Amino acid sequence: MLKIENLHVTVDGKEILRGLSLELPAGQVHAIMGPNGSGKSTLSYVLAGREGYDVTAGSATYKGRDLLAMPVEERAREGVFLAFQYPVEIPGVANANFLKSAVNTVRRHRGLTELDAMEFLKSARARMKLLQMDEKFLQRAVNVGFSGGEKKRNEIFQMAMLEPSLALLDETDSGLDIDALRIVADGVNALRSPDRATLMITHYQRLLDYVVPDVIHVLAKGRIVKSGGKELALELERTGYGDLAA
Amino acid sequence: MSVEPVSAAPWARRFANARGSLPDAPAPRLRAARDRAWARFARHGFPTTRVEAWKYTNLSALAVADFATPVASPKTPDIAAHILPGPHYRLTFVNGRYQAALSDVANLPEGVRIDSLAALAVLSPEVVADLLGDDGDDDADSLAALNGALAPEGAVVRIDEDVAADRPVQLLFLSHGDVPLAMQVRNAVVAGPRARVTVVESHVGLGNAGHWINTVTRLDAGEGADLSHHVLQAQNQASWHTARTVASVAANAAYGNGLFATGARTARQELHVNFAGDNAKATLRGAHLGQGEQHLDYSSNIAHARPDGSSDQVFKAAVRGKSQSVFQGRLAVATDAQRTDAQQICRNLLLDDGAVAYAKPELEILADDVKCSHGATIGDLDAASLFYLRARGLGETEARAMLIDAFIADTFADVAEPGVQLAYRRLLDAWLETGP
Repeated sequence: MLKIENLHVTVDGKEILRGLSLELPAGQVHAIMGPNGSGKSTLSYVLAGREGYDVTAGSATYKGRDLLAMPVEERAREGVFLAFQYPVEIPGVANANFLKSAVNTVRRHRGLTELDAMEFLKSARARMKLLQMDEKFLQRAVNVGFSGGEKKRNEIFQMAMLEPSLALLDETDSGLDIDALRIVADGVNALRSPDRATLMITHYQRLLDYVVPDVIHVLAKGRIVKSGGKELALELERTGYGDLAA
Repeated sequence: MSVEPVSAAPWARRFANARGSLPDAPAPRLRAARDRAWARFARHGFPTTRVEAWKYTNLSALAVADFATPVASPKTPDIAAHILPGPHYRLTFVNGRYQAALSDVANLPEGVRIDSLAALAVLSPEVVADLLGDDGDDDADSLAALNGALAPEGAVVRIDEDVAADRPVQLLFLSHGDVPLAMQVRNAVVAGPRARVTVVESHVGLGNAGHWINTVTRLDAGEGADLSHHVLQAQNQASWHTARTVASVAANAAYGNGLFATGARTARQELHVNFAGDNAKATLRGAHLGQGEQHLDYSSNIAHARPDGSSDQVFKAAVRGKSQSVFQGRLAVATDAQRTDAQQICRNLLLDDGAVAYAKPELEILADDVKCSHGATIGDLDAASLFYLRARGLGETEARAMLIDAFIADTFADVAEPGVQLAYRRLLDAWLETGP
């Protein structure tokens, strides 16, 4: 699904990713853990296509295509979804209008018929129920006045609506209390399937109690320094990042 | 002896020709008012950019442009696309002349009077003379003076005390034809004590002749009245549109003004709001949507003269191409206007490298117990928001349109009547469709 090789990325002239390699096959969930400043968010942004991240070497291949050459919206339409660490507030744009446009743009791209207003609403309601979100969120402006937990739920709701092939979850667990974390994790788990892959970027292991990864990678100083099974999270919990990040 | 400004000269001939044939010519008071107005214009001529209030808007090409005098229109334009959606009363003016057949003022409820100014001037010249008032004798006021001298037509809307008009009133001014025309329009709206009414001035330019529409609209909100006034300006892109709105707001009255301008080559919308009584309220919204080489000027002058008043002003501009938007927001709080609450915000989106926005807030606060704030921003669309939308699959053009839409639609979000709301929406959609 996703293959990253020797990726070097600089931001404002400073090298943040320094030769990161990673292979994420379809059907799997991988976690990337690492201390602050190790390059976790840079990885998620560069994969989603945000401006200001200069790839100086290496590659990222998604479904056999050069992901880094694709415009932002093309990546999304092809099935890459980034759940933002800090979802953006957009005053004046109703959640429902925005999401309906996004869903139909993606559906058109995939050769599916567009959803009409009723179909969209039905689909949205079912997914909101799963995430225990109030339907009123549909009429509110995108993320405006949402609590931290509501914003994260809204990200997972969008993901559920857009049904991506590759989900990138950037610190989706941060700012969530334990109940919200469980609901969000249920949402992520509901999307697990043999033809999807998920990359969870997280500082803490607690999300991994609810969304159990197949592989955990430790990111430090811009590269993967260790990979292992889910037991690696427990080891990190005990020892911290100290030795690995040194 | 003073020398007449060069720019007044061609109009002297037009005034001389028109003077005897104006519908109210026989009424001495009106005739005298026109002579006074002419004298003021003759003294000042067209305002130049040396006049502070006209610093950003250059009328030198207008001053030398040649215009034909409007005559009865040979053909009737199709107004269907321009009438206000939903139930309403309507006066329609084509090329500056009232068209009864295109109007809808049958079955007005008691206490609601809607008339053509020219007709009323013949029937009740004294009433009209009382309504028109004087326009000031500053060099910044000269277009209003020219209008006072020449305007043959306009709308008069009167709502009696304690009457709530059951429908919005549309004043539709439509110009068409191939010959550039100069049209002077003068309107008066009077809402009596505790009356309620919504008036929508729609200016539509068909074809592409470089007309000039110069309007003066005086509004009077009586004690406790609620008067909403919307100006939807969609002249053709070759036209000149100059307009002055003067509102007087009595005690406990509320005046709402919304401007939405997408049209004209050069447009100047001047808004004067005078707080004539205590505890009065003004809610002012405005938007410029510019493209090509348009120059759109919105200059407001809010005068808090009495205590406990409030004004809330939000102005937004989105400019593409090489278009320019001007916002001049003067806010004066007199010594007596204690406990005034005045908020002013001006926000501008520059969508192309050649687009320009001028934002000039001018606050003059003499009272000491007031809450006043103002803010002005000029910038591009928010990059983080654009990225967020595109990361969900929206194309750049669509994402930009969505953000511009949200930015501008905020200026008419609070319009109560669905039909009026829809009229704004149509103008915004039409503009968004003309380009990225």
